[in-house]
Amino acid sequence: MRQALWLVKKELKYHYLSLMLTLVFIIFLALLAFPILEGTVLRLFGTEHVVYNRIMIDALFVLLLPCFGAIFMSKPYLSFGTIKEDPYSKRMALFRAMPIPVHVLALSRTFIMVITLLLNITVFYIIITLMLSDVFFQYLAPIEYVLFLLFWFCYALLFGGFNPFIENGTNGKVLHLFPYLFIAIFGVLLFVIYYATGIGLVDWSLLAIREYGFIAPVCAVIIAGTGCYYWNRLLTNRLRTRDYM
Amino acid sequence: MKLPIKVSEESREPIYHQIETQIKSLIVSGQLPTGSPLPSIRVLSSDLSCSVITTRRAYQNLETSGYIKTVQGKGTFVNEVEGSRKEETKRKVVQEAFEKAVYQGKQIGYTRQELSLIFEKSLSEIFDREKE
Amino acid sequence: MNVVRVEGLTKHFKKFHLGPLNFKVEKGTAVGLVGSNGSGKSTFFRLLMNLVHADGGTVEIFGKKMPSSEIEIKQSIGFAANMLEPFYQLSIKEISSHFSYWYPSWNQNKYEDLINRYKLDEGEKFGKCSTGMKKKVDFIFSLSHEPELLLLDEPTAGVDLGSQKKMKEDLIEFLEDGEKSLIMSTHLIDDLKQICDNIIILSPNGKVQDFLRKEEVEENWAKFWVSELTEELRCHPHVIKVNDSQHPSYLLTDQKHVVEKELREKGISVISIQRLPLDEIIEFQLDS
Repeated sequence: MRQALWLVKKELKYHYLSLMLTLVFIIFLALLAFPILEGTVLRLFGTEHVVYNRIMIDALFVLLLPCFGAIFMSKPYLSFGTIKEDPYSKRMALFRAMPIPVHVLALSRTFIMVITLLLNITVFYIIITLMLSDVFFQYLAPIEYVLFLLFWFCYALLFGGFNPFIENGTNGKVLHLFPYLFIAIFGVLLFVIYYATGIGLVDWSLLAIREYGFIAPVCAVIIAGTGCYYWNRLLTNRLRTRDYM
Repeated sequence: MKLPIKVSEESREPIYHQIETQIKSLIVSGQLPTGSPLPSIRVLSSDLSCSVITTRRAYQNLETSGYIKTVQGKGTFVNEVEGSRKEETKRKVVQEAFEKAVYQGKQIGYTRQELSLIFEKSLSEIFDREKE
Repeated sequence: MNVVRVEGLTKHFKKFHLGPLNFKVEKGTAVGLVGSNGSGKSTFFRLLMNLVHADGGTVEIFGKKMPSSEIEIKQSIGFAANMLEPFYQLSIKEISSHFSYWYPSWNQNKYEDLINRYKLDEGEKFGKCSTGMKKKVDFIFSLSHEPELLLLDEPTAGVDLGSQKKMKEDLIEFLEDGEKSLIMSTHLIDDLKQICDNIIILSPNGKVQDFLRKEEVEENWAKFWVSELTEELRCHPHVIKVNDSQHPSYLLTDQKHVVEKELREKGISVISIQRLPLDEIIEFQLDS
């Protein structure tokens, strides 16, 4: 644990710049997101007729939140050279060549993901919260709002938690292909949901919170926690058994 | 430290013996005085590009015959060699060198008399040159 | 005592099979690994370090089984195989903080001495170093935690002559007390001649072509220049190569004494006997 945190500290220090860039990008996303979120709530719970795009809000939350677990404004994500050079695998190979226990290595990856996610999502949430109008909170009680944020944090943790595995357990090709795969799967899923129920996932989460209160986010916390634990187990296993060429 | 030693690829003589003879002659000629340190087995092997086992054998033989001694943890040093032994070794070293030359001459097909003449000639060439 | 014991080690790739490898490294000895490009030398090291997982066979280092005592073993190994690239944005000093943290036996004085000896600037970013400098950095980190076993993948490749000489001196010093061992791959014959006691030759298809002991090479391998070559000699099991396209002809043998006796009995006159230089033997082994 102590060793894993030591590694985390070192690495976050080295990626300081990329992390800052990522935050800047997230501020931009937050500015994009808040009017859409406001629209969603006003339409769902209010009477006003607002122009609102269900796909936009779902795309933002469903597709982008999981990315918050990665320092995505860094070279490996931005450069296609990654496909060939596979920098994350090389980094893991280097650490595996040193006397670092595999579980420490895997744990450090999970910590980096959680810390990055916490940092990114906090900034995202703060910006959104500051920007949202009073009208918004007339329709959504502050406690409901908090639960809503918690619910989506869990969602991000569950799917973002898979990212360390993609980064460090696979190769550069998969790292660049995976987002498209993710988009494709969720695109289809969202389409099916719209078609079947007529509401979006964000709509649904808001309704669930109003209906069941605490139960929805609590379930989310449990699922996300379990997910992270198993992602970590999966990564540990993968780091132990993969070939570093 | 480096020793002026060379091993020959051509020679029929085993390498350990070549090393032994050359160190002996360095000692008896006074070029390596009593107490002077010798390179470690590893270092000498590396300098001569030969195996550690070969060098170790040469050192062991030299130690058995009293030319060198190994002080645990400090290294190998030239031992005190008595005067009479020294003289004997000197003679032996030279004799061995002559024998090698004679053997080579014999192989080429020279007779004893012919070799003797060549030997005389070599003597005068080297000693007369020095006189000049 | 054996420091490394490898038995039946195999690894299959789509296009290449390495092994089965069987060999031992005795404590206090230096083993040179030679083989043409693509014969699996780097994979060989990665197999030993459990970075690549064997399909079969066992690796024992310091008498301990490899995957199960992995961390303990790795703490006492100095491994240099051009793997520091992911640290390109770090200075040498920052990289050293990683090594000193993970290796309990880290010796800061030794590290600083080596940095000075190789005239490196600790503040230099690793990514800004030239190929030769990177090699030196790699080499220094492999030695600074005073390992029991060094695994070096072409340590001298691309390094300037002066530093090559220093590396050789450092390796000789490392081996000096007879307690530590070394496996290094190299393409330089001088490394093999001056540092290694034994040589493993990997064939292009990933098998151990030969395990040469230097003292046996000195003792048994020879080139005989002879007046004539009989058919019997050509087929002699210990005559491994003959050349009669020129006069005088010569033959190569890996059993000098046997062939010498044979020649004497047959009355064939020997013009000259030469010990075989290592490079000629290796060249011959790689060709066959």
